[in-house]
Amino acid sequence: MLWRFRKELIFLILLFFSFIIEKRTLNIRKNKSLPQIKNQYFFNYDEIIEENKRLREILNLKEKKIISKFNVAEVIGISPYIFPGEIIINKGIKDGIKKNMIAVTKDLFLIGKVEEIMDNYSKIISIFNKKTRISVIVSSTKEIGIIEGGYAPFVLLKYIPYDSKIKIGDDIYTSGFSEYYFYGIKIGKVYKIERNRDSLFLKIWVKPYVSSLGFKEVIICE
Amino acid sequence: MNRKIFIFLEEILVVSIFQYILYNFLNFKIIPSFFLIYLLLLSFEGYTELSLFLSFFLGILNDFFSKGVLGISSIRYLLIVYFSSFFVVKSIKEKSIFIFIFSFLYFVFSNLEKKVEFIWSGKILLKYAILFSFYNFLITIIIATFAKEIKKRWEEKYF
Repeated sequence: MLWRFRKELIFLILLFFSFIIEKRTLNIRKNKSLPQIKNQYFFNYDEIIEENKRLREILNLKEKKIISKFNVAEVIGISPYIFPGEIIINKGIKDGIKKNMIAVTKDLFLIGKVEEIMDNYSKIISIFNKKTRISVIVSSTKEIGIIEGGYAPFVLLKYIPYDSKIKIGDDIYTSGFSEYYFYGIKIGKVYKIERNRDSLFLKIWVKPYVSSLGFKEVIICE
Repeated sequence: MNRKIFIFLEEILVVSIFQYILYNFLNFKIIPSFFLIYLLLLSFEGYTELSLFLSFFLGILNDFFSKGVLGISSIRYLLIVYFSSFFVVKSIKEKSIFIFIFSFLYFVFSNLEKKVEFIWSGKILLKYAILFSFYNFLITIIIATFAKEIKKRWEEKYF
């Protein structure tokens, strides 16, 4: 009797086995992909969105031809942790980074310049570093001075004459009279002006823009 | 008996190699299914039980080649071969036409699963199903016309 339905029997048995194999394979695949799904919950989506935003803004700089030739690098180390004097980035000689290139934020605020380069990473000395000396210009009076690091959280603006009409809140940007820094990179705002009668110059404390901005990507340009 | 087994194994090997080549070395959107053609031809020739058994194993092999879910092709092959076994087909012309019809059904059936969620629109599905069936149809004609002759020569040579 059964022999007459052997075709059906074979068909049903094999179909049953096929279903079992399919189910098992699907379960194995599901379990394999589960850790990845779990990990997704640990992602900081806000951070990813923010990063995306920042990178888009950097891309806009190129599209608007504000800066044409640049490299975007990720900050992989800072020292000290607040108002860093040295910043390590993940790009080096292999990526076309050269010594004395300028590092700016996506908003084109000055961070510093490349001091040391390795194959795959570079060291930037920031405006907070005590080695930093930059020729700058005051936005309102167009007077030229020198910015000096080593006074975090501020930088010191030197050689502005005693009788200058500089006022608190004035913008300070690079003068262009420098070998490395081109004209017009914003550095910060005048925070405090000290007048010392014994000196011919004012002692001006400038609050850099970068001090209040956490930067994770830097733009390296010439 | 041993001779027949040897011939079947040889055929399976050739079909598998062809299918493997199609999956791995050709970058076509739709590729013909040598496995399906072979199974249907076996079924039409009256080897229904063998065809059902091979549907299971070649289905697994097909999923392995195509990196799909193991077992899913077996289910499809088994269903198609089972239904095809009710038809008695003798001539090359009939075989080709039936393979065209069953290939069409196989393709539509494969792409109307729940998991695919009808991602294929009706028109595209129809287009590719016809293309797939046409490929299989052509291959069947080639196999049916030339393979028999080759098979005969092989048999004469080796046995």
